[in-house]
Amino acid sequence: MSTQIAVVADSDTVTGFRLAGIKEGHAVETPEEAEKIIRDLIKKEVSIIIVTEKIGDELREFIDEATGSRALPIIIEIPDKYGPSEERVEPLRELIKRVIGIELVK
Amino acid sequence: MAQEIIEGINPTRMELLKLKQREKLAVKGYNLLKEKRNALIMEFFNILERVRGARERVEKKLKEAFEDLTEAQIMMGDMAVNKAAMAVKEFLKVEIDSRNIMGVVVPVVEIESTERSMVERGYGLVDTSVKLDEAAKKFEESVSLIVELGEIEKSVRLLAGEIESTKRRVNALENIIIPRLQNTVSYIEMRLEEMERENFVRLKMIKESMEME
Repeated sequence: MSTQIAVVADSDTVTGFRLAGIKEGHAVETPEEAEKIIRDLIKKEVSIIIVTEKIGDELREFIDEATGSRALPIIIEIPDKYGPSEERVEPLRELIKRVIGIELVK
Repeated sequence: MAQEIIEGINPTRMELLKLKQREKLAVKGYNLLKEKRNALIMEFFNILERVRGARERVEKKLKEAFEDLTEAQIMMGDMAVNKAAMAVKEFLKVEIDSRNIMGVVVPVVEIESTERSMVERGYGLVDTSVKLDEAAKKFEESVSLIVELGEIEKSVRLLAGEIESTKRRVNALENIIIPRLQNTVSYIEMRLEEMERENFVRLKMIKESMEME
């Protein structure tokens, strides 16, 4: 199945990925806007959505719900031009700790 | 260990047989689920090998890309960079497939080589800076890294969820359901034996009183 990649991020990130050949770039200012656009993209069956970590943090609940336990869509969070935020707890690392932690105790 | 038994059960042979059947089934299910859990965890560790470093690579590559982009913006101005970005042709081809690991469907993303030559990108070469080319190249490289990262993270997430629920089921069977069935079985067996002894005593008493007459 061939599919599309979309970017929902601040304008500089969108420009960068346009240069890399991703046309489906949406520059957003507020989390609400981002949520609306991500919803539309999921409806359009875009299966890979790149968002910035800032948006990801703001919309954590929505993203968890949207990606949930299904294989698609894949929502990937990347750092923006200011780099990865320092004290960010990476959701994935937390998850791994939880799954393996129990294993180690066992 | 839980000492409770299933409430409202009649101590009859029929119930005993039924319970023994149920216990057998529960043990069978428990063993199967345990195998599933172990297989999932093995798969999980395989993927964890790949996850290590994937995010760091993406972050590093993106940092370089953004640096070049900023430099290009300084040299050419925001407008010109945006214009050039608009002119870039859409060319990414991504194929999504899925793989089934013990009932968990994980995506497998294949991306055709994302890099291309300057001319293929589609913006004018006369009024653009070389930093823009660099930035474009680095963003192209980072796209494939990002997609790979996304695939891995998604797989980890799905597997972790499945492992958790399997583990919960295994634990529930091991610690609650099977002991409860076993306790109920032994309770019924005890009651039946008791009834047998009572019967035996009763028969003896009847026999004695018949002999007395």
